[in-house]
Amino acid sequence: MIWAKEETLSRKEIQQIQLNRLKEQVEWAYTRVQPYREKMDAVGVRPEHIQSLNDLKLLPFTKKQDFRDHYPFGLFAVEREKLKRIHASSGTTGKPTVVGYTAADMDNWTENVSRIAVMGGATAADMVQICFGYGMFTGALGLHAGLENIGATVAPTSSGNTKKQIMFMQDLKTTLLVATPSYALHIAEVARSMGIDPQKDLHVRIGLFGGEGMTEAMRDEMHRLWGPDMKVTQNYGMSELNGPGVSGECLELCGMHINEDHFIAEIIDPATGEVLPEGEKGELVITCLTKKALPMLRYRTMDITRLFYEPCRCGRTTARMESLSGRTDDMLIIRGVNVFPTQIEEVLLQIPEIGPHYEIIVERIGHLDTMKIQVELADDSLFDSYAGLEALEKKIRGGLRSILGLDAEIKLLAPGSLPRFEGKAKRVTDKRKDLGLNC
Amino acid sequence: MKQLSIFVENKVGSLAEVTRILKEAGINLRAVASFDSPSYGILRVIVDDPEHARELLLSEKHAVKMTDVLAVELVDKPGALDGALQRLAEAGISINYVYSFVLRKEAEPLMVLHVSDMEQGRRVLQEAGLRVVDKLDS
Repeated sequence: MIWAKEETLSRKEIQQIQLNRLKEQVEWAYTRVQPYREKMDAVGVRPEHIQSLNDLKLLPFTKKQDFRDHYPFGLFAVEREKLKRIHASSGTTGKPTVVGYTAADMDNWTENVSRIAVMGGATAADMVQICFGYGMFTGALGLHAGLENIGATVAPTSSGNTKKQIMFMQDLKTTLLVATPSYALHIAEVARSMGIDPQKDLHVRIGLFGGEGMTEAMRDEMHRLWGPDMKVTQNYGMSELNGPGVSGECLELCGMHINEDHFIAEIIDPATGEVLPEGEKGELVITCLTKKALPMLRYRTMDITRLFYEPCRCGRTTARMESLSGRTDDMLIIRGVNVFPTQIEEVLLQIPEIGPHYEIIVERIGHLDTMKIQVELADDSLFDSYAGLEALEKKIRGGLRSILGLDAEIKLLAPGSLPRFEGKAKRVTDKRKDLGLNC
Repeated sequence: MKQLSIFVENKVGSLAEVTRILKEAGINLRAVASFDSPSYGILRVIVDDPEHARELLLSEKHAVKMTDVLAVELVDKPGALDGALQRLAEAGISINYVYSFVLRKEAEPLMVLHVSDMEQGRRVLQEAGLRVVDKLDS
């Protein structure tokens, strides 16, 4: 089933909607948001210069740094009183990225998520369990609203407490699971360890996965654990772009359909900022066409992908983006949580007993991401104190947990044992990279 | 008495690496104790020439710290260690760790102690008639 007629328009019709909305949106941002006005003035671009979709490339980029420079409300186009909701995501350092929604923004967000849910096989008959953490992150409440909107029954079980999740799954006869792919795999493993076969004893037939990328290897594993007939799709979004609902896979599994009447996607060369021709791989840049509270013009997602525009076998005509193949920055996604090495560094630098060198090792053990952080002792003062070393480990772990909301394994090393770098330091080793191709 | 504490990573061969360096320099190990967690360990040793051993280990990039410990001579009979420990407890001194010498030819056993108050610990033990050894006779 296809939720909205906008998903099957001709290319010409889509482009006409995009152009009309783009003009309106540029005008809106220019007149109401000072940082947008200043940036456009600096390059001599005015709203009336946007006469075709091709003119989009005249506009300056918006970056994560802009959120930081104008924290918390500086990029907003409406007064705080007009906002219905605030969400936030982790920033590269210190302050999070704050986003907000008008009533109309919320409706559009919900509509976009509904389309993606239906694309992945969801219907009004589904019993949904949302295993994303509820809170400032957009994932849980975004999927929540979109699934309620299509008439499904939603249980906001949130993340964690896996045995209880499984109990609800059995008792409610959950048919649709929303989670990060790695957590979904973990749930299946735990169920098996409890003597419950997810294929026979549970009723989950649809998985809508997001919050982190899903490789083809993970999809295969999902089928092995949850059954070959499970409908396993992933979807894409980020809080700066409302949250989930930017794009999602249909059951043909040939890329994620972009809700093009709400978002224009471009691919650029991350080094030069130049727009790349169709089919080339580069950084995804998104312009939001309907967001009123927090307009986003040419937002650099830092995600690397490719776009293609042929109509899909599913009947949709919207552009599709390939599974993400990496990031242009050093952001890590660990158990669905965005982690920047700079955040870790900030915590470590505040602890005098350890030196400035560190190494982050991310691995997937079983189906769960683990983060190990190797640090050097600053001097010999703790060499002879076992209690002191243990207390230090605890202090580092606690500091990281309060900033990232994640547990990390700490490994203390002797001074001078980590490699030193003359150029750019390589502080992160991500052993999870097992990328698969889609089509 | 001087003790060397060596911070070692908990991986195959890390202790052997330390003993190799000492052996090659002809330094005799008199007492040894190791405490470990899943990721690291502290190897504590008493050697003939601690200053030299420390320099050797540092030159091979090991994390070494020299600390003072009390080496107490005990008579070789049941209750000897208990006697010493009771005195320390009565004096309100807590023991951080204790280990013993490997072997002493024709001499009484030596126990190595690290306590919360080293000076007072020494006094308490000496007042109890125990000999606190400061230097090894080579």
